[in-house]
Amino acid sequence: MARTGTMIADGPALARARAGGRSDAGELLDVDAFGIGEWRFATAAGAAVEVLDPPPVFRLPRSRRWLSGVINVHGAPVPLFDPAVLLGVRAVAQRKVMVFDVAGGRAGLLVDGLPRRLRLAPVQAAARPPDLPSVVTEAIVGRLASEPPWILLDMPTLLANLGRSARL
Amino acid sequence: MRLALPGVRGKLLAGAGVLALVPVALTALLVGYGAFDAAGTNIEKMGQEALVSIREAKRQQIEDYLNGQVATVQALARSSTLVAAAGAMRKGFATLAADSDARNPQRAARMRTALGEFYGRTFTDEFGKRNVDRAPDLMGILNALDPAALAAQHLFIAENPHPLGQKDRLVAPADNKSAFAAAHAQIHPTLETFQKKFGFYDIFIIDHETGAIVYTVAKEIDFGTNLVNGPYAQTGLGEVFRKVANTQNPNAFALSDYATYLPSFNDDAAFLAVPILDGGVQVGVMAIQLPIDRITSIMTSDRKWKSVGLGDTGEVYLLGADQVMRSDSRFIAEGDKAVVESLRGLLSAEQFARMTRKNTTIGILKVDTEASRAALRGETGFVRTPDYRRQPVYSAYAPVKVAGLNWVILAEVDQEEALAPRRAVLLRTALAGGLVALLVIAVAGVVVTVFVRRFMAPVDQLQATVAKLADGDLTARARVQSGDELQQLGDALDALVEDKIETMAKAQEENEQLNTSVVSLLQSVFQISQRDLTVRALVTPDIVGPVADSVNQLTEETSRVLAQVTRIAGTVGIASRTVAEQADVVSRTAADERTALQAMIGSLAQTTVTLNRVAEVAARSNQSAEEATAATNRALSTVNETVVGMDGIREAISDTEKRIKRLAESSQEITGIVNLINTISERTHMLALNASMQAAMAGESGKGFAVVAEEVQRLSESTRAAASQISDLVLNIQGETGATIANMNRTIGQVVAGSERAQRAGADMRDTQVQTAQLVEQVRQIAAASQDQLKVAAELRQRVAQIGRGAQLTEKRVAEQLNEARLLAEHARELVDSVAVFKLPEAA
Repeated sequence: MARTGTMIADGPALARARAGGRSDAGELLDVDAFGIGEWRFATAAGAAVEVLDPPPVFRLPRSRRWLSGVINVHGAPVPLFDPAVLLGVRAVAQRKVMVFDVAGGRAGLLVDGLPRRLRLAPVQAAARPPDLPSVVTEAIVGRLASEPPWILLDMPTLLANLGRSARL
Repeated sequence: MRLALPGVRGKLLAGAGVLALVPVALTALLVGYGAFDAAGTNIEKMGQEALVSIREAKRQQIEDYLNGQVATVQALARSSTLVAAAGAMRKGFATLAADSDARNPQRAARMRTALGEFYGRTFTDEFGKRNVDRAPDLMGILNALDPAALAAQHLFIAENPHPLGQKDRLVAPADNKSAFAAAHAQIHPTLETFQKKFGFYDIFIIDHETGAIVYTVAKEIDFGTNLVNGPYAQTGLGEVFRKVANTQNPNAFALSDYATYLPSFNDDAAFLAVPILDGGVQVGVMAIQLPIDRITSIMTSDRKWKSVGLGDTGEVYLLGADQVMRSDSRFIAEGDKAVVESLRGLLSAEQFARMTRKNTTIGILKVDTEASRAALRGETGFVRTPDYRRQPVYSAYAPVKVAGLNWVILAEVDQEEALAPRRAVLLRTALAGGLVALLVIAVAGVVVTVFVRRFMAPVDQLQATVAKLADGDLTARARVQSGDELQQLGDALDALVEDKIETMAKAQEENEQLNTSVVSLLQSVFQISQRDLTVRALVTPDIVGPVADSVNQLTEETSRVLAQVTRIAGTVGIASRTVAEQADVVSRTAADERTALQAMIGSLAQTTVTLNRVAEVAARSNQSAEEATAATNRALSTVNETVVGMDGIREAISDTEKRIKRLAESSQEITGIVNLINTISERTHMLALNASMQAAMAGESGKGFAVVAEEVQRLSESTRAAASQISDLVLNIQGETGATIANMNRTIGQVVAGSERAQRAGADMRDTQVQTAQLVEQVRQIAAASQDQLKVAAELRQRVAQIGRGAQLTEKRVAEQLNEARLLAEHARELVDSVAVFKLPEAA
């Protein structure tokens, strides 16, 4: 897939990602890598707090389709986002729910299959993929030195963007 | 620099201080402001009242003075002395010119010469001293004097031995026997006494009929002049004279305003005139020149402004209708240079020079202020306005209506001085308030300090206890005995410390136990990672227990699956070897069959040759027929053997096909098991991911657990990779098995076809055998049937050749089957080798 677009200069965000993965600049970074359709994403290890099989989802009115609804995680209501709907792709594996700590609680993300714990070197992202929506590109903080490259996301930023845009 | 935050003591002190100080400050401010405001208002009111009182007092003084002057002059004018004096002086003056021979030009010239000395030197010098401008044409005045005036002035001025200013001392001129001199000598002492006693500047007796000034005390150059047509007719003196010159009213009087008066060296002079009546008949006019000094003395309180309450800047002054001063400015009188300079811009150069020369503002300085204008409008009041110095003053103004004058009086004091008491009150109020506030602060400080010290004692005790605890002294206890909430807090702290110590000990014990469990699990996982699946992790009752249990379950499942894989792979290997052996047998059989067929083909060719020669060698038909019968028998036998071999091949292939189908079924079972392994691996992977995330959330204490989770994750990934590898191998086996079965089926079909063809060849052989037997008998018919026989032989050879090609194809297929069987055996061996790296339990 062609990767063209504007340059990304988000050094502090990449530093946060490195800090989350407990890795200094130039060193390897522990990440949780996951796929959504044909896309490959990763986030710093430690961002996710739990991986679940998809529980029953309670749909919310007046919300966008990629906000699947609310799920019950240990008795607490947690919003569940489906980035496959947002990106317009089809899931290629059995869906799992990654739960992240965000400001004010937790949020869930539907991913394809189980995430993989990788240890790779992060590099500055060369460009924002133009075919990704802005709520995702704003959360891109770099990529991982691998082929194909994994797009490194700042998950709190992504979930905050999704939360702000979810309401119709 | 970061500022240290105040402690509780500081906050308490600050709070109590604020609580104590704010009300005090507010009260002090409110009371002080109220007191200051009330005092200021009272002071301002008192100042205003004082200024008004002074103004009224001075106005009353001026009015009393002027009214007194009028009454005095009227009283004097009614006295017999003045009546007599007026008559005598008028009479004497009427004859003076004649008595003095003043009408004689030489005499008059001498008189003028003598007076000229006085006018031109004595008077002019004094005039020059008192004024900045030059004196008017005095000689013209002198020359215009009528003989009587000339004689009078000559007699009492020029011939007066007393110096200027003391001419009144001459009572009776020497050597002059005139009636005028005699009358003067008679009345002058009395009138001079009046003048000095009543403080007049001068006393005039004027002939009411002629206007001649027949008597003066001071003997200035107006003496003897005529107020009707003389040089001073248009002065204030002439004015008042004319007002009372022809009146029978004994109460009549006329008072002129102050104006410059040449005979008095252009000093300001005011005149008061009354008629002198004798029995109701006017006999003359008495006038006095009011001294400006007296009015100034009244207005300045003899320069004792402070003693009358005017302070340092207060003054009272009079203004005429022209707004020009009728009394002196205090500041000019005091020689205030700053004020003098400030007036330079308000006056013309001549006025300013005259003011500085005479050191007076009377008749010079015009005061056009709000107060002066209001007073001239007849209003009485008090106003705050800039004065003639442009300084803000409080001004109490009022008109002065006395003796026909239109004057105003202004009592003023600088605003700054007027407000000084107010500021003093403010200062005193502030000082008093400050002292009270300081006293309250001191008392409040002592009380607050004692309170805070008593309050902070248990707090200090708590703080010291917490500090000890922070330093690691776990035996420290507060044991506060204050009997209040702080004691409850201390008791709670002690209880909390006890509970914390117990909790810490329990946590340490649990941590050690957890560490032991983690180490044990790590050892087990390490051994498992070395592919020793006989190892079982110790299942502990702590949080590691479920993980160990999961690891054990995974290990057991993996062991069982691997054992089953090993068994199936062994079976596959055995089956493969059997297939290979059978394929080898089939191959060898096919080779033998091919040899037999080649031999049969050779025999058929030979038979054909023989049959061809049948026609030619009929004689040798019997022998040839026997040989043909023998050959046919051998061919028949070979065909039968071929049919048997084909049947054997078909059975072997069928058996192989069954075994391979069973192998395919086993492969399906392996696929199911591999899926189960994948499911378990995925669950383990997810468990490991969640465990690592929980370990990350636990922070430093979760590091050991994170290592376990990572190992479990790796193990699950290894399991998944192995399962994937097995799945690939099974898929390969299934593919190869399918291909083999397909080949088998094709081979079986070919074998069946070859067998059928061989059976048909056998039948043909048996027909040939019968025909050969018949050939012996029908040898004679050979020639005839040789052509048919040749056709049959050719057909037979063609069929045998076809059988040969089928046999070759069968041999080729069997060879391929053999290769595939060997490949299958190789895969089975690789599968066994792959599984063999795991050390499996004996039971598995």
